[in-house]
Amino acid sequence: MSHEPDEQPLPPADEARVRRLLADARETGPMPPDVVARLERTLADLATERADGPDAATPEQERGQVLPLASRTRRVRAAALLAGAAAVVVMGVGFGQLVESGDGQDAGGSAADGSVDRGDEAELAEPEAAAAAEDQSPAKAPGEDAGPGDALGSETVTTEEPPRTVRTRRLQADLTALQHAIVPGPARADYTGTTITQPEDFPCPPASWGTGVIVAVLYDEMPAMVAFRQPTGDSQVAEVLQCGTGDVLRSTTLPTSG
Amino acid sequence: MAPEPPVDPPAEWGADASDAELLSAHVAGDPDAFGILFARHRDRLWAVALRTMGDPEAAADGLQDGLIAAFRRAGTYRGDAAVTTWLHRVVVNACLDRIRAAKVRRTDPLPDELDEGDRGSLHTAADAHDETLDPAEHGLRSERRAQVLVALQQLPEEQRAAIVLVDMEGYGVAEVARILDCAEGTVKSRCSRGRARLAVLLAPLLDDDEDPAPDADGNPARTGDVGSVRRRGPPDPSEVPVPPSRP
Repeated sequence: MSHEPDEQPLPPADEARVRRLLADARETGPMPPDVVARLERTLADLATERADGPDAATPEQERGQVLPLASRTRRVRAAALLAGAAAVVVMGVGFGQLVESGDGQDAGGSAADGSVDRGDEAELAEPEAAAAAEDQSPAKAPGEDAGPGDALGSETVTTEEPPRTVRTRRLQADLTALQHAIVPGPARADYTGTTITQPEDFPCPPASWGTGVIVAVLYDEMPAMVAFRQPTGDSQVAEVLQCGTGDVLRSTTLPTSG
Repeated sequence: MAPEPPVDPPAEWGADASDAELLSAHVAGDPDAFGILFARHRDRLWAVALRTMGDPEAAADGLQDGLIAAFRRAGTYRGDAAVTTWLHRVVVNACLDRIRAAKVRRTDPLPDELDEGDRGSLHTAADAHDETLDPAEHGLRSERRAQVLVALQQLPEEQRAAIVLVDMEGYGVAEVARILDCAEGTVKSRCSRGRARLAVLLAPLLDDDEDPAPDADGNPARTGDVGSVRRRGPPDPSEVPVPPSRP
């Protein structure tokens, strides 16, 4: 086995010299005007996109306020799953277990017992109960954990297909393949709500995924979600989101053509 | 056509509005808040993106990706770290994603002479403070920087990102760990390994270095003026790093 250069610790004097060279090579100038202009155009496009039509709903969703359920048929599993979601119990428990609603638990908080009797599911699934849970969820500001009401108003579609694989080392390729499979026409898809596609019993605690097309994946063999966002121009942001928190693990931009 | 100069922020947003307030306003639907927030930190974000990507065009692409991601995902900000930390995390991740996607690896040998056509050479090696140096010293310094930047691009992206944040931008290890979403020990390891690689790649420069021996902590006895307002060297565990504001 060959010794890589980085396996040999540097003497302090040499390390200090390297750090000095690095510090001297720091970029100290401002962002070039052409880059500033480019990013300001991007910001303007994003702001316009948000202000128009379907994006008017985005700020409310991001505040945690719940949008009224659409009249179209939707699974109530999402509402039941999200009400009072607690600490993750993944292996051997299954996705069907629910947490009691109305007990004020945050999605990101821990609980002594993360499961409830399945008999509570019917009660949680009732629209009246779901609405009550919505009312109990305060508006969330940045810095607060996503509450159970954040994803109410989303639609979950169960698929019999196993979750697709997304790998760090092949992120762009895997997300491109996923886009072609899940969102074959990115420019024409509906991003007004939160549409989640996942296998039954997929072990991924819910979180505030945001609007877009959300699909369950195995990211480096761990459950995660990929979100395809509303395209901007001829590109679309795809994000790998962490289960339970919705934190962006990875993000990339994909073309919407081809 | 010359690019338009930056636009001043609206009068209703005072300079005393905090980053968190601006981000919250953005999530609430304010159309200007995010732009103001980004403008506050864009120079440092640009510096990080540029040194991480090694090329101005790629840095602009990575920064744009990060900007879009941050704009859309502002609602996920948890408040457990500074807004700037969160912004840096999003931008650095976007840059690293681009690097991995493009499988960019710099394999060019270190230049014996300065080549203006190379990426990461004169365009990014020049420094605003060079104008105070005499021409000979200016040339030597630019050449040295160019070699450092070329060598930096030889590092694996994870090591490069850690070194850019710690050794170039002066962030503390704890904050860099939050930015890179890894353990502090991982940051230290990446920096240590990266520096060791650079020591090999930059051996001629190290041999020419005539500065005095470092102090007991391994910090250089003195550093060149790079315009930083923060101390350099290993982070002080008791110090909470505050990114300097640019004029």
